Amino acid sequence: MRLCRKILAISFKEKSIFRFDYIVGTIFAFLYIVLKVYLWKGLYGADGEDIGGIALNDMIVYSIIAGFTEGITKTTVMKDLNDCVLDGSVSANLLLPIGFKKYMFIQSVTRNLFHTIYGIVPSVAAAMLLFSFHVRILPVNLLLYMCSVCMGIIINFLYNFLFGSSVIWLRNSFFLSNINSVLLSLFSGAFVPVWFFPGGLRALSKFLPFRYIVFEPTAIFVNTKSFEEAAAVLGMQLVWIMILFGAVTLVWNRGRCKIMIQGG
Amino acid sequence: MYRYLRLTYLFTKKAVKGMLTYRWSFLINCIAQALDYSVTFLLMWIMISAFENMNGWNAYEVMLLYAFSLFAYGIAGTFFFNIMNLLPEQILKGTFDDVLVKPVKVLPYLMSSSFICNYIAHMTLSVIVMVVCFNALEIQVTGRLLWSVAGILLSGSLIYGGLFLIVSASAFLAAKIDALFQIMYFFREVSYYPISIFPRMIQVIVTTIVPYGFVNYYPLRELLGKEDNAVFRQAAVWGPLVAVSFFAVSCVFFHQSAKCYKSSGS
Amino acid sequence: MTTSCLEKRGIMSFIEVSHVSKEYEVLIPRPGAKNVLRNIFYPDKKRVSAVNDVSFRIEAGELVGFIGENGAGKSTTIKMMSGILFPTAGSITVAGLCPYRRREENARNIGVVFGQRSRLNWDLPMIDSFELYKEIYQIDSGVFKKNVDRFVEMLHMQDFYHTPVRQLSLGQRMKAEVALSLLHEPPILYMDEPTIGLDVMAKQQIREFIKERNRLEGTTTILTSHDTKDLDCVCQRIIVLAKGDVIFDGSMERFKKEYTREGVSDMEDMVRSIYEESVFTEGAYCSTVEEK
Repeated sequence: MRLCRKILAISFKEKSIFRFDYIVGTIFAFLYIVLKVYLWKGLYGADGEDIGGIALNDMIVYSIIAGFTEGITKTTVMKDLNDCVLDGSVSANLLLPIGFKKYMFIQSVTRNLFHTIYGIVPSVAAAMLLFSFHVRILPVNLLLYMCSVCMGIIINFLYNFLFGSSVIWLRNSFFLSNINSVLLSLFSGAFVPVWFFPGGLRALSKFLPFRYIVFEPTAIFVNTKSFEEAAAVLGMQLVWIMILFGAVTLVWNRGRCKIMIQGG
Repeated sequence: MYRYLRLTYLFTKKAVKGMLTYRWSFLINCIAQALDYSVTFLLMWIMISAFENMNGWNAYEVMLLYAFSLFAYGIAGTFFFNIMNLLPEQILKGTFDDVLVKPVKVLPYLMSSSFICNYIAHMTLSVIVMVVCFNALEIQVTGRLLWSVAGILLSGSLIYGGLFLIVSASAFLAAKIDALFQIMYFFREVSYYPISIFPRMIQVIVTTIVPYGFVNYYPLRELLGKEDNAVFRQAAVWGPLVAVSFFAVSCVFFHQSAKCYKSSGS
Repeated sequence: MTTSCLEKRGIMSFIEVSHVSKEYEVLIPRPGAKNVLRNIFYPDKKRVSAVNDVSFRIEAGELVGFIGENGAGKSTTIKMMSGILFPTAGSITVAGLCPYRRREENARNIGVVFGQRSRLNWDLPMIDSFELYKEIYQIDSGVFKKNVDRFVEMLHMQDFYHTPVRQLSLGQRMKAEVALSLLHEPPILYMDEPTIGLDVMAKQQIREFIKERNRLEGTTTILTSHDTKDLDCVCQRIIVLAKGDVIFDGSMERFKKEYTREGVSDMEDMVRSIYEESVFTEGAYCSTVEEK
């Protein structure tokens, strides 16, 4: 916890130097949400009939909340791993009296928390003021959403850590990180929710972890799921966390040996 | 003119020679970019086919909008992207000096030394999509159509080129140009869709301030005979004129800004 | 023939710098969150003068050394003479041309070496960069071949002529840089700290090369260096700049005579004593910095 505070304090200092960047970043995060909402409005057309059981109002709520969920689940761990393996500082980090994975996780989450509080929250709030919509927030849904988002953060971190570790063998994770961002933008539902996917792609998305990062938590918030369905989603997220955690442990232990032998 | 073409050839030859050391990363870079843009096409198609149309434009028509934009971006990027990408650092570190001590005109020299081939991936992808879309829309590919497509792409790349130049030139005036970068890419994203779905203000911006509307929307609206409720309905006629004058103004802006260059370093 | 004589007859010197000043505008950011927008739209500015009413004349074939501390205005002066920067006031003529107004033509007359940065293509052997320069400067093939052969021989570059630049040592790279800047046979050569970080051998070879070019081709050379041995070895004339002013301009002999004092006979000590003096009289120079 003290470590969290320390990293948060450092991020604060970093950000206060580049304050202009932060303002610009917030404005554009807001504009991208606005862009998405207008796209959905254009698609629903003037009459605004429900499509696939989803009303325009729900889509507006979905777009705004997906903007928030996407922001808070983001992680730069793949790039961090790439950098610290290539410049050799990974060896120094391995000497810290704290597990390397844990350290990276705390760093990723705290940095992102800062970004969320100062960048995402204002832009989401501004988008909420701009568009008129109605949303019925049940305490139980909010609770389920928060659990689901937390697991989404962990899934995205573990997934990125798993493929980021490839840098130890490949010396460059550019291609993998690009493939990763492509898959994430396709399947995560940050832009187009899985509801509208054609049958084949929708079936495929069920066997990949990406929809559990942005789409499922947001769908729980938008209130399209019964309690049982939402619980099933949380269960699936837990399964993915266990699978990914196992894989990460396996790969990382091997990678650590390789780093120890070669000296980074 | 011939001199700078020859320089472009030499620079490219050298770049290719140097790149042989890193040929895999070049190839991977191309594939990765093509993949990235393919997914955007795919998402667009998924989204619009689920709804049948977007303000009267069907999935193939919107994908055509995107393909035209991407191709024009590719042409402009071949000549100008690296100027925008490298110039801010050259100015910051003072290495722009090395350009000024050479007996060359600044802009043509920068264009020839910044020439890159990576955009082959963008252009190939957009041509494939264009062929697919024209086919699906049952549009006969005639000589006349090809001429208008060429004209649209040419004026589109002039507009993109002009924007690249304005952003690059701003590096002479301000230390940080990230905000301009973001503006450029945000409105590019806007122009991927029929802009008539956006509020009046955004339509005015992408028609006048950052004239992306003339890259794809207005010409294709005319070409496909679309009748939607755009704010400016007769804008297509002005396309070539807007493109040429926008590019000319950008060049002037670039030259004027270059005079503000303050060489830094020792 | 002294400079005053020329002035009376109204004959232009090869390089004329008259009453040149260069001022920069420096932005001063205000600290604190409430000043963010103000810093962006109405920043506080300060005018700082880098060069202050500098005049000198250089005749064809001279070997001139610039001495001055970091920030004394040496590089700024050279940049104005090569057409990179516009002076705020005054005028410059280099070989009959105004360098910053007719930059492209002037560029053909000058060769420039900046010691702290490289213009060579990192991944390729130096010959490839030479060939590119042949095209940029439109050098005749015969002249190009003759010069490359001679430079390679004079600078002992035979061994690493075909090695990619990134594998070369700093000294080898600098030799290639010097050769590169003289390929188009410019009558004028500006060198800004060409020997920075080099070993003794490489320094010596570069010094000899500059002298040789001056003897054979009459290349007018202006050199700045923090290594006084470079200047002692190469230059016939010294110009000392301090805080943007010329505080000494004269032959090497006069420089040594003037600054040799009790216990000061080495050139490095002389330069140090000049710097110390200029620090001592700093109050006088502060007037050149004014708030706007």
